[in-house]
Amino acid sequence: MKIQCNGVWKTFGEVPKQTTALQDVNLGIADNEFITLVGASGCGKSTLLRTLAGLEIHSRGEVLVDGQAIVGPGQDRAMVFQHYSLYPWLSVTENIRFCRQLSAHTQARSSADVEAASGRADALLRLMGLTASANAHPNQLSGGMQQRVAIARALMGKPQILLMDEPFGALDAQTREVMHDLILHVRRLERTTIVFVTHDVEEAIYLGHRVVLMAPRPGRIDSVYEVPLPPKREQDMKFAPEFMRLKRELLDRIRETSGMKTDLEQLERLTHVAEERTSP
Amino acid sequence: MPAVAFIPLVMLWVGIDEGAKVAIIFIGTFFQMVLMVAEDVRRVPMAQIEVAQTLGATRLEVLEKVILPSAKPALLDTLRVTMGWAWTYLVVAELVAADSGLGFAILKAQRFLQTDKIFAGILLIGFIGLAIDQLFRLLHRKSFPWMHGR
Repeated sequence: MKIQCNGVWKTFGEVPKQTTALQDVNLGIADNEFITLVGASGCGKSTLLRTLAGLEIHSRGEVLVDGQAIVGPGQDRAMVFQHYSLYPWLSVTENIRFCRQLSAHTQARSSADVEAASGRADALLRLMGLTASANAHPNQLSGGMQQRVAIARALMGKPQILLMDEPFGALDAQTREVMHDLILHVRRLERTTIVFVTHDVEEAIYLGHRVVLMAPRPGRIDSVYEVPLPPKREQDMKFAPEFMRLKRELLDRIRETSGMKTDLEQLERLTHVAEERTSP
Repeated sequence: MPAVAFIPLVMLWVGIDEGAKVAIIFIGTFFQMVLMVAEDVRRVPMAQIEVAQTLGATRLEVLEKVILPSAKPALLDTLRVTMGWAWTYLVVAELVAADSGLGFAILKAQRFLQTDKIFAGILLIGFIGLAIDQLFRLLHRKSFPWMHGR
């Protein structure tokens, strides 16, 4: 599915104390594309993602999915959150099959449909390496496993668009690498369009076809970078010179836009003041 | 609600039988319970609700499949606390506005200076209160095993 943002604005609060979370965002995302959003904190990358999900309604402009304006959350756009937010009262399998309890997914009530769904749940369990924990409850699982359950739950309803909000932020580096290859595999297999928010530049380059860099105050798209890597990614590519170059370029640009420089000057000034006080 | 202050009014309007006890317990617990249930529901993590919404859940389905099961353990805790109050109000009601029950028995014993009977009544009331509370605890463990350890 294609996504098109035309002049999207999002403001919070009333006029005197209004903050602009998104300023004139224009972005087109192609079918089956993997887009990553990076930027300093407060740049509105999560707000943009939530707008695509329909959890936030934009103040101005239009957001189109396959030409249709978004009016709210829908089954075609599943979202994976940073803090897994599994349902603790359900087992792993029940969590994954959660969407099967919803009328939006069970309109076709034929036995073939039920059978296909059951097969899909099993396939997802196997794909995520969760077969052994199928009947466990979420609080018995490690963070990495919980996030795999959350991804499987989002994929269960065959969404054409997968929105991911820093999904691997809380995972350790090794688990994260495994998850990267898993999610790339899922995109190839299911032909899903993926929009992925992260603060990790390396992750953004490794996963994305294009990296969208956003800048804070007000939140806006600063620049869009094409990733100069072949579509099929491998871990070794992280050491390729073009990977390094893009990583440096992105990090520099994020630093420039985040306003961290002024903070450093402030710190220096504070240190000077402290030194003057301590010296007699 | 100052439930105890309502006792004279309840006696006038409802009389001094079972109805009076029910009325006093209702006045003493219902309004607090409304606030506590509202708070329990407010504590349901927004993320759990949003997940369901992005999976295509309707408002009714969010209520039935997410908010209710998510708030259930807290709701049972609320019932447990409220039960304690209800038990207290029952005894209070029996002491002043009833013609039967443990509280009434204590009051009768006081008239005849039977201190031993008063103590028996106090102990029995305390024991039954404790038993009800433990029953709620057991129910919590049995109903929500996923909350209690691994």
